[in-house]
Amino acid sequence: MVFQQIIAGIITGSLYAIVALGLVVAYKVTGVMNFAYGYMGMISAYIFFTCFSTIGMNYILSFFIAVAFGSFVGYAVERGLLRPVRNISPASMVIITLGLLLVLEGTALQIWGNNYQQIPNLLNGLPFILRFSGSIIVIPQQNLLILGLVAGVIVALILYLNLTFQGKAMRAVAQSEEIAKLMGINSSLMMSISWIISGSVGALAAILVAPQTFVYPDMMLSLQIMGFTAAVLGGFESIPGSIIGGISIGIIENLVGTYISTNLKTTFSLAIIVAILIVKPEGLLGSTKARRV
Amino acid sequence: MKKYLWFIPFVLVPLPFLGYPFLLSIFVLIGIYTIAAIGMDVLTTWAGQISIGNAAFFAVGAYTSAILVVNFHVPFLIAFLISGLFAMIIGIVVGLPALRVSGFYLAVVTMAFGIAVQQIIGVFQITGGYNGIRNIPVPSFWIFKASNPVYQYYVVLTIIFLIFIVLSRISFSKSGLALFAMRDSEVAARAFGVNLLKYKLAAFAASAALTGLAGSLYASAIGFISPSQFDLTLSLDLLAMVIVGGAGSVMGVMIGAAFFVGLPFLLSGYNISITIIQGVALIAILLFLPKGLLQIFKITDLFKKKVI
Repeated sequence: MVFQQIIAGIITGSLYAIVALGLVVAYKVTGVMNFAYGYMGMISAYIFFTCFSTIGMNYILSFFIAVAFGSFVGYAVERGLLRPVRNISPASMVIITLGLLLVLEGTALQIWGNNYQQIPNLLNGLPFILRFSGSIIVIPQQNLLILGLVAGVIVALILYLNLTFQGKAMRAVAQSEEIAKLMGINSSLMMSISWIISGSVGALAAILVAPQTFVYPDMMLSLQIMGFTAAVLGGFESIPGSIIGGISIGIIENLVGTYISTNLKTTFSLAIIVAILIVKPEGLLGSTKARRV
Repeated sequence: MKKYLWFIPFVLVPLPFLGYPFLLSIFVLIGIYTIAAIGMDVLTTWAGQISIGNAAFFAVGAYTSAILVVNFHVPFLIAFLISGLFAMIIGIVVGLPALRVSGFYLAVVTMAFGIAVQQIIGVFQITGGYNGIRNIPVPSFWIFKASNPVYQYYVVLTIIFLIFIVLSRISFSKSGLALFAMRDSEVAARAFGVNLLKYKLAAFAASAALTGLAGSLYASAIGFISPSQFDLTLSLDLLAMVIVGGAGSVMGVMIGAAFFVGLPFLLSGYNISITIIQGVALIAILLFLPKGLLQIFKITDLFKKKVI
């Protein structure tokens, strides 16, 4: 029973982790806390729905079209909307992304209406059943697919950032844009790439979660909130931190939902997270920065 | 006397619309949101603390007042004051983490608080669960019953005026200067002997109290409350009202609230999604009027010689 809940928690948590990852990548390079992130993914889920259900394309093909669209949305938002106002105050930046959220929500309503649309699972085979010292663990195939894709994205991203020259350049821009520029790094290209990565990751998360939540304009709201919390729990600046944060929130949420209270699941999980933040204000893997006074 | 003059248009505004109770009730709503947004303004612009959970204080005020008036038949004025007080106590509790965490971390802590309060309200019996509380009586003060929206408007306007007087006195006092110093640099403020614990908690307490009072008025003016009215969007809207209208000024906040509450009603007749227009307007205002809509009224400033 406990193991079953922990496995389920890891699966939900991996979705939180990937949303947190997308937020952190964009935040580290451009310094924008993107409140419209989930809604950018939501548009991609609708694109997937249109390609797959309305036009009748292949599942894999529509998947790639939707992710590509997500990366395009990420690029367009950064280049067209946020780049011109880079030096605005943080509170104003929050409000600009809130405006973007409203525009995306309204666009989805206008084009696709307010109905709940369904996306089928890719893998609908028999679930895997593990027998484990007397207890039984059931894992649906779709969940294994989610876990595999999320793990693949995380590994690919970490390899990209650590092994390639471009990844190194991106980390340099994240550390100090001015010095990176002085070293001859095209920082505006790096910013675009970070948002392309962020946008496609968001689209992926939305498509993976869509079979469970259905597709509707607010489908990503709770995932986005939990993604933020995961990112903050992990330290907001650290990619491993956001993954650990996401998975631990998933597990906490599932255990609280089973053993303490189903109705107050979110409340108790958030209380635990706030308690962790009070003890360790810079997050699990964040570092305290020395600042000039 | 001169600094109160800008209030006169707001006193005169409802007079041409006496025959349209619906319009007047929108004005009342604008006034109520103004009070809540002033609470947000005190927290963000004065004390420099970010919060995206202020909807929770609004909910606490609304529910406290509604439960007291409906279930215990407490007179409205007393319920109104108690709801402000209760929200203030909760605000102090929420302010405690602000001593340890700041920036985005504080934003997430307050967001967590807002979501938790919304969920808690939905679970308990006394708050009516997800169905909420219906038939909340209109505000009444002893024999005077503010059933007509005009009366409600002037009640709300009077409260805003009182808040304005108190705030403008505080902003020139030692406490106000201490708050501004804390916003600009916590380290420098502490070096000059500002007690950060005291002023951070005071900022949260004042913000929560104002928002709670607004919530109490909201419950009575609307007559129906349910958890879905106090979601994350409301918290973000309150922040947006401050930024869009003009941070740090009661008049600016009022314009922001009017923009946010009034726009959906103006556009409700057309066949286009209101959220698109609202979003585009938000972005456009921040791009072209970075100091908020209040800048339009200070157009003469553009021609003045810059001192700094």
